[in-house]
Amino acid sequence: MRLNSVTLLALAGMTSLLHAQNEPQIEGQKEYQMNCAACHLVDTPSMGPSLFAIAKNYPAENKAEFIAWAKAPGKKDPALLQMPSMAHVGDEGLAKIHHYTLKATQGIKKEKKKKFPNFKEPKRELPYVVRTFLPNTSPASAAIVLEGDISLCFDSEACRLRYAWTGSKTMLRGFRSPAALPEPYYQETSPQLWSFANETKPESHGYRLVDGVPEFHYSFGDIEIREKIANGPKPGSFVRSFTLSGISSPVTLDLSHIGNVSISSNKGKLKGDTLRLTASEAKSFSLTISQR
Amino acid sequence: MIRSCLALISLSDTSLLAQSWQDHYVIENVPLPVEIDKQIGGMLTLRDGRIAASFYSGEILIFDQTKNEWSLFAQGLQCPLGMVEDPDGAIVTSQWSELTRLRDTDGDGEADVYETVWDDFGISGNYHEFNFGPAVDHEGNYYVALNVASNFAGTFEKVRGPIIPIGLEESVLKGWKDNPDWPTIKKKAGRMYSRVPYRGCVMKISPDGKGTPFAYGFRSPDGIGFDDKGRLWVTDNQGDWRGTSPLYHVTEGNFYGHPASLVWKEGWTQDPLEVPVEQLQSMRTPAAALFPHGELANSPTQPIPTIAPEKFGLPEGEVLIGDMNQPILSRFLADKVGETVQGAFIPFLPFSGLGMGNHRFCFDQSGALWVGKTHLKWAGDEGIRKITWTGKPLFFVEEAELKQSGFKLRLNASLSEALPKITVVKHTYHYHAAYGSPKVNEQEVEVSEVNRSSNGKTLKFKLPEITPGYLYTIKLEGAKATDGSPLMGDTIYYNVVETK
Repeated sequence: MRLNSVTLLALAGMTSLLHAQNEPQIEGQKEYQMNCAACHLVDTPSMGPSLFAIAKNYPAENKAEFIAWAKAPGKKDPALLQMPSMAHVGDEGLAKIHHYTLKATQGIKKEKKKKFPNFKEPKRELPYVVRTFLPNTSPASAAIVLEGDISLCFDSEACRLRYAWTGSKTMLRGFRSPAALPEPYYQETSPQLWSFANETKPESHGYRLVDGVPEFHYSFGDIEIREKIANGPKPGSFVRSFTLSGISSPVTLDLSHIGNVSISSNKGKLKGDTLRLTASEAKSFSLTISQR
Repeated sequence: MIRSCLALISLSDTSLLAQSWQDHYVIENVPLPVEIDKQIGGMLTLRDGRIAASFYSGEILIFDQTKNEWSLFAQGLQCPLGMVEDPDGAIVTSQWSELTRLRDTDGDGEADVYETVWDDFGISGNYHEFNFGPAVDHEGNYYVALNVASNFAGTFEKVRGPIIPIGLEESVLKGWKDNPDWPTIKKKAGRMYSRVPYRGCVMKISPDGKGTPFAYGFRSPDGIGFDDKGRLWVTDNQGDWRGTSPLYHVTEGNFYGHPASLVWKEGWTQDPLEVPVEQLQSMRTPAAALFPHGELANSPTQPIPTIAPEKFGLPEGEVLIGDMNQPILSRFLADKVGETVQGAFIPFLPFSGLGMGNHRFCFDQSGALWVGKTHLKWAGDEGIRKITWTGKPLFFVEEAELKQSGFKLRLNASLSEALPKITVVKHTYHYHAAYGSPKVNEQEVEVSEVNRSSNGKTLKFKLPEITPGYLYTIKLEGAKATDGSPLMGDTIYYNVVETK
């Protein structure tokens, strides 16, 4: 992450947020602060439209319509959440809020820009691991962004790599919906990667950064696995380096997948999509996945 | 590394300040690096005195006050909404998918180990399933509050579950986006719902990562923390089953009113939406204190115990609580009646320039209160403020005690012989599935036999009767100390759970 020095811009941005709030004085201000202020600012759009915008729709002669809308709101702007009914405020309270809406916006010529515009993500040093919602994987997953425009999805619930893609332009963070990603160029399709995976539930232990390179740590019963994920020797390739402990018998990996890639292993016998390793070989080996 | 200086922002518009809070407290802005989304999820003073801040955007930054410098400690976390420090210096944070222990093992100032402490709970993909905390007890157990889901959305197709088969069918929940009937059918899910383990529970997690439900019945418990007596406090947000926002004294095995999480009680088979209100009422533990909605709070946040009075000016042993929408902090003064801990809120720093969005707090070693703000695009605010006591004593109520037939208030200095005008209003709230509640049965209560002690430090008065289940709003209009200082916080919101 390249976070540089604080600039005066930051300070200038902050000062405007420090206006002291006034105690309610105008009729309806108290009711506004109680019921409306969380979503409707006076002159700036936020979760909902500003009072300035509302006042334009509901001038003095439209008070009845204002009250009716607040009691049974519809949805005018598809980009915004629908307002909950304010029927509990009562006609009298809503009339006061209407009064305040008109009073507070008197003299305002133009709406201000959004108080909190969308934040622009800074450039990150790579590799970068970020827990986020991704498509076609457990909601407990992480994205690994490598140099050379390679991103991978690690499913922390199943404890396995799911897929790889290029051309990611999203911020890869948030919690509202999975990031929109391009089609993966590599996607694992086997029900289980490891031959021993059917016997016990995987358990994730997290990851560490070894000289900045992520190494995921997980286990199946007594078998502990460390999987390091890094750029490969050629552009468009990545390497998965495995270290296993608790292995006493041969291990098979089902590397069935979709995608135009070549897979090689530095140990064992790879035939088709099946890699067979002796117990000794399985202790430390690596797979290289390269885009063709 | 990020260099910065602490800039004092003058509160120029002092003419607007109704009370002279600025005589007692200085509020400064703490500049943050420009390349960070300044919404705070957690604040923590480390044992070495540095200040850690976690951000919704996934970073943890650490501020060294001796160098005026922010540095990056961790990144790539999903919504880290709290932090504690282990005895060995590791930072433990609660993110969306797990409780994570962060260690800097190579001493370069940045975490290189992101260890999963506990992930044995559900994630449905619903946008409302925040995880709050952790708080930590004296044995090193962590406590995390799991938010329930909102029926403004369903779930993802892939969930970390399982989805419990009580309530709206799983296929309907998962297919909500393509279902034109969702706006009506969602009501069958409940306004806020819990379908994956253990949404709506406060969880206790041992240091080695074994988690069990500790308490049930929460909705949106954004604030969780221990006080200096080892009591666990959790705030929750007004909404369904929450007439107004509560503060709960949480003890093991109890149910705190929002029924969605009852499905995680062992042996529970009923749809929570079908349990009669009377049954829920008899099961629930009432709130210790209530924030009247829109007055003290709309969405209360973290509780933090106060520190030594010579550092911050308030008595030690209180709990301060913030709010997203009201520019006020609330002091909570506990009062024990029998075995029940209940008590009073008193506004602190109202209309002082503090602003809204006061989400997370820590006291630094010099005694200044650091306030981390957030908005999530609601009103709120962003950034960090630092509140320092000027050293000028302030006049306040330091104890609110319920008596058999009235109240006894203890003050930290002598009340003037010219007594304040005391008014008392009581009201209650509905306990129901509907969203929020108006004030119910609001009525003025006659005050009699007002008595100021000879030293002026206690004020007693009688009321004709005390009604359990009512919030008493006591106003001491014009209260002044013998030296003329105004009473800072002249409204006391006492929640009567038990009577004497």
